Amino acid sequence: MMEIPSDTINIDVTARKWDWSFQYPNGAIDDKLHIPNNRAIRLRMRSEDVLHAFYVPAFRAKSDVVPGRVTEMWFQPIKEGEYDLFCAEYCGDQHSEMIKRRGVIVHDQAGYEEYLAKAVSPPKHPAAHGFWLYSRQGCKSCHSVEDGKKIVGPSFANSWGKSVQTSAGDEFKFDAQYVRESILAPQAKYRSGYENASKMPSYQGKFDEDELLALTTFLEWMSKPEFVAAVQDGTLDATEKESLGIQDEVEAEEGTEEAASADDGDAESENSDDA
Amino acid sequence: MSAVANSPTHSQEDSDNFLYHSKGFLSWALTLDHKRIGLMYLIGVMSAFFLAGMLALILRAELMTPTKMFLSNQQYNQVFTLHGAIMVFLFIIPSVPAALGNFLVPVMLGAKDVAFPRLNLSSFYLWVIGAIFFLSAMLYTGLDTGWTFYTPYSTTTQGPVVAATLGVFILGFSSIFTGLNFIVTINTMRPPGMAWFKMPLFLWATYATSIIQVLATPVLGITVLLLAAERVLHIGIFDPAYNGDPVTYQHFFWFYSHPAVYIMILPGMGIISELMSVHSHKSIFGYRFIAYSSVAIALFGFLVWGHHMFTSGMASVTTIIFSALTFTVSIPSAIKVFNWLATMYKGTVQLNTPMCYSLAFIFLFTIGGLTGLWLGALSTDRPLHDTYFVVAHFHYVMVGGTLVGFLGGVFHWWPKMTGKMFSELWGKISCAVIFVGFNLTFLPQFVLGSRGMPRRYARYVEEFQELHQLSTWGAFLLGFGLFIALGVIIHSLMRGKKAPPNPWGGATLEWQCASPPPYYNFENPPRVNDPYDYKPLEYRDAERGWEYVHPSAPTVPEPTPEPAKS
Repeated sequence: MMEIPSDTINIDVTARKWDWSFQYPNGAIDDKLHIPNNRAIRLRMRSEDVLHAFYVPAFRAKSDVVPGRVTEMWFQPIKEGEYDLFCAEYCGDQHSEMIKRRGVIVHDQAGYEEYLAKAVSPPKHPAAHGFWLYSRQGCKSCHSVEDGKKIVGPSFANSWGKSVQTSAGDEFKFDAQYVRESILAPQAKYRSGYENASKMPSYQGKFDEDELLALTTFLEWMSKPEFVAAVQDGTLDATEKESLGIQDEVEAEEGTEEAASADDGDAESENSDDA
Repeated sequence: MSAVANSPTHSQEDSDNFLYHSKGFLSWALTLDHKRIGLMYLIGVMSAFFLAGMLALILRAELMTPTKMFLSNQQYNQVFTLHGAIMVFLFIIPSVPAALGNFLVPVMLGAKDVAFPRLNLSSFYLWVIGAIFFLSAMLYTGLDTGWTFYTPYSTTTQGPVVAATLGVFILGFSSIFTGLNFIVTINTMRPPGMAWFKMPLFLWATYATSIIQVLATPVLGITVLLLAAERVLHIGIFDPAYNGDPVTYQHFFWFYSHPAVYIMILPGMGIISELMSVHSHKSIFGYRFIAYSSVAIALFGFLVWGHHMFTSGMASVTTIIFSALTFTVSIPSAIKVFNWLATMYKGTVQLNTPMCYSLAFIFLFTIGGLTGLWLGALSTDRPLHDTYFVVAHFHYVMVGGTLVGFLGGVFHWWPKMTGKMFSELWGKISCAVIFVGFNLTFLPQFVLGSRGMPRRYARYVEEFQELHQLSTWGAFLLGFGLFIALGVIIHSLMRGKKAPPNPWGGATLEWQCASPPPYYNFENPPRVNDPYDYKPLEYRDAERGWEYVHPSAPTVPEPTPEPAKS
């Protein structure tokens, strides 16, 4: 009854306050779940902070995500389309903001492979890369990119270079060192006014130096009004990148890489089939 | 010659009446009289209910639209936590046992008081202290853990979790004291002639409830202490950051809180057993089965806590065992429902206000119970767990069951407690409005839940809006109905006609003393009859109520003559 078929596609799920990220067999990370139709999907789920529950009503599938454990669930979609994803276990302030409208996308096999190939390669320019990480790694569920809009933590817009006050009363500058410290040890300095905000989990070990650099650049760019305007809608599309001068350099080269990573994706999923 | 023989003469009545025989604040605050303590509890739990009910209306109003109306996410979380915690710990658990039970257990036994009157008073004060502790902790900075205090959220959130858990701890002791008192009272103070199977069924239900209170509540005490220790000392049992396991907390918590569900519903069932029989003027059908089923529910209730955790990551064998055990609870519950229905068959059913509430109880409780089967079955629980389906299910049991039963009991024994009759017409109107309002509130929530609306959501996707609005209008109607009921009893206090000792024709002992009872309850030890034999009773008129016409009919041992009590 509960036995998991052997030829599943394994996807690692991380839940945190208040977002999901999904890691695919080829290493791509996204905040939405993309899956092929008519294949058994096995989710291995971890939580970084408190209890969450992965719930897709359309699939009648639900399982709690328990910190300190890896919980598994599996299901097999039978119809292509986009489905809502909910968190069903109370997890604090923004619990109901974990509604992910059309957060589960069921592709046909070709569409899934195409998606995987595209998702594995982040943008080249560090600012775009930083924004890409920001939208996929859960930053955006607490930090807005609109000026002055406070979700849980402070907004990222126009913070760079400003002088900030801690709750202890010290002043310091919002610079690369502070950004690095806040990502790796978020509780080291509390900004005044955020003492009662929910605690941010540490990203120690989750970002490598390149990614930290990308995020730092992204925050630096957040002091440019045109960049803020471009990312405000939550996406950074090709024309926006072009107008900012941060498009990925050589189109042709990217094309070949995409194809290459598509092959990788195939290989990976075949490997997991064998496993 | 008649039941009135046991009530004092008219001139005596006013001075001996328990409400007025001594006056002043201290005579109430330091009273050891179970009736006064019962009334104080009644006022206390009703105030708690009023507060938590208002919070429910705020929540429902916020849910009129999928986006923000007037509560931020954080405020919404605090309000639903307050609503749940106050309702559970301050209202439902003490409602029937502590308020009605305190009043009724000794008079139903023909006794003067409970076994330990001082323990009884201290249990009331523990309730007050616990309530103050709990409310001030929650209002001070805002508790937002939900009433379940699930770890690791509760060990990491900024709210006053420790103060609130200590409040729960104190309230737990209040509950244990009450339970202990009733167990000893029922065991030792039954009058001559009242064997176990001659007891009114309300006492059976109270006894079963008390067993759960005494056995399960200590586990809650341990759990909240461990939770506080985890939060303050990081002892590492519940919080994964210190190598604990959150699911362990859920096991601890539900080991109390599932039996607590039966603390909430069993006394309501006890009330209905009395009301069904009295207002049908027919002996209760299947007395022994109802009595045994109360005890069976109390015992099975200890074995099914795991069904709250089917999606929490338990081993699948464990979930199958818990699922199977869960279904056993439906057997004694169904026995009760069938016996109540059979009691009405060929009875002389009088649709008095309390009877209307009993019928509402049976209807609503049955829906609540049957929808529980979907949640007890593994495959259907998977999508339904933690959705509005669960919310609707337990509100059908807790509100449609316990609250409606409680109101029925309040109306049934109101003439006995206050000596005043109430407006039958408005009583029935209140019942009808509550019934319609309740169904309008919670039936749409079954649909919402089965379509995937998760619970504890301040915001939701717009497809659900219509059903949410329906539910909100229902909630306002329900609130309106409850205000009518409140109006009826307030009007009765001010203008009510004087109640006869036995206005409904009940055969249990409380109807043999005056309304309201004198502070010593019975002038002479009452005659112990079959509690469900209505043949010797006959209706006289509105002033005299029902009286015994065959005084010799059911006497069991001759009461030993003894000097009148001083």
